[in-house]
Amino acid sequence: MAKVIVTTSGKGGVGKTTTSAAVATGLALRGYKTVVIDFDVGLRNLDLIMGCERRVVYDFVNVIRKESNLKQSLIKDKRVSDLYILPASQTRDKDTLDIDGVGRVIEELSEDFDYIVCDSPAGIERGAFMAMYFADEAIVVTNPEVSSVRDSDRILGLLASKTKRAENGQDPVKEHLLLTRYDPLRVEKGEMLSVEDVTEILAIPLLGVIPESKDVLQASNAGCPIILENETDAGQAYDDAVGRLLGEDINHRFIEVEKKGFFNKLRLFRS
Amino acid sequence: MVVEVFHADLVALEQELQEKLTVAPAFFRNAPVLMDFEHLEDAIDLKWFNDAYDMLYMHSFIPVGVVAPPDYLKQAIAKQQIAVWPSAETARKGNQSVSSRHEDSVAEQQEADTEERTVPEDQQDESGATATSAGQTVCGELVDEPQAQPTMLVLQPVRSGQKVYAKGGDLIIMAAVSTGAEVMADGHIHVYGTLRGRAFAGAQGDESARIFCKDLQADLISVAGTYLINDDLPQKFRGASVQVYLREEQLIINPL
Ligand SMILES: Nc1ncnc2c1ncn2[C@@H]1O[C@H](COP(=O)(O)OP(=O)(O)OP(=O)(O)O)[C@@H](O)[C@H]1O
Ligand SMILES: [Mg+2]
Repeated sequence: MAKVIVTTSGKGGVGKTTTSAAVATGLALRGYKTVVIDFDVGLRNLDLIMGCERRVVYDFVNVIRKESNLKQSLIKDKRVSDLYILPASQTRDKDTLDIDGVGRVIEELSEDFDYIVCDSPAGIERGAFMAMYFADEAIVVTNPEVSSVRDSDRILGLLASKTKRAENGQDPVKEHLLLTRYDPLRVEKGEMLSVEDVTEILAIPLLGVIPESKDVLQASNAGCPIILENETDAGQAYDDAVGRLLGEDINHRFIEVEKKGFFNKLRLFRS
Repeated sequence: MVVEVFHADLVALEQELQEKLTVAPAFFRNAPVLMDFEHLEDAIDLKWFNDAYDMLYMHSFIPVGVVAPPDYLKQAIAKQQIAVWPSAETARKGNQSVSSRHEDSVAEQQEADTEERTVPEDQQDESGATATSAGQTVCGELVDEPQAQPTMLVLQPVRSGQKVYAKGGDLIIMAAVSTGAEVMADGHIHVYGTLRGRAFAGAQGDESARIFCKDLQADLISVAGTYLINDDLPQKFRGASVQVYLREEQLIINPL
């Protein structure tokens, strides 16, 4: 039986798709057979970030409508074995997803995979609801700003009430906070919320802090999940997060302002 | 803030709000608003009302109630646990009179404390019968049965967009109440986490109901319809462990 993980946020543009691509790739790198599904029907972009947009023939909606089977529709990643992508359709809207169809596809994937990562669209409407409904765990992607934190809070409320687990009275969806686009310098200046501020408000375990980094955009333009760029801060931060997701105990990094230059040298000299 | 509704054209209404918003977005963000229908002549229905309410939410206002809705809608609105006031004057009363209370001396507060001990906690019977105008304005019909109701216990955080209502009894919340969340009880409310959302104790008019919380940062607190919004919370009680109760139609905040 696969574990179903939803990447969700409420607010748009906070880094859900970046995270879905990184986490799915990280899980596959560690030997787990993983599929990542794009629920953002109408706004396909997971396949761009995964660098497989040219290889899309059939999509998620085709599978739901039984116009194609899973074998035809899953795209196998070229870099990482055990990694598959189920792309979204660009030509339909989110209303084409129906809960029974989504459930059937997830059930079928469950037989074959260890992890199913669901990349949620923004908002709290149908698409986001479909993406979270079957989740066992949720990565709540949050930026260190008030509106994003509030939307995440809202999503946490939905995870606790509108998911299959909640409706069936099973154990609740396991919640993880992933704070992305974190800029310690701006936090220090008081322009952004701090890790403490956010964890205090949302009160769920911190999976990781991903620093704001130009490498992210560069990697996604190149169609390469950032986690594969293992010399970048953001790539390493995602790798740590995947480790924690699997239960490893790893210290948080990239939270403090990097001390460099004069003062750093001075301290070195003194000691 | 009061939004006076002069016509039922939602699109135009939204546009007018939008104009206000562009002038001072920070000022209006999360501003509590009352919708005032006193001057509305157009007919509206419940769907219109709900759309208008949602529209306010969408623009980051926090609707706290309505003033003078058409008679045929009063019941339906109250059923949705939205506060209804007969006129803007009564709605503001609690708010204004309370601000004069901010400077309560410590001695006075202690006096209030001792006084409070002599007052029987369970006045549901009486308050049902003697509810004042402030009491009657809130949420639905008064309940006649005074018998004790089980207390509602909530262990999980109450998140933005969620509502919890302990009908006929007390509410105990063992976690935080987020901004944008609403907790209500016909009796007392206890919050053993940070209270950031809105809390309505005595939701059906029980003036002896109280709010207790570990960390007061509420968007709004209300006892039997008399309310205080975040802006009016005295600085010294922000982040403090407090109780809130009603005395002579004014909200009193005491440290715990
Ligand atoms: N850690 C980061 N540092 C810098 N930029 C980032 C970071 N994470 C994401 N971004 C950028 O933010 C933008 C949005 O990212 P992404 O598409 O992953 O967000 P999303 O939440 O999936 O958006 P949507 O809600 O539209 O689906 C992209 O341009 C991406 O490159
Ligand atoms: Mg996305």
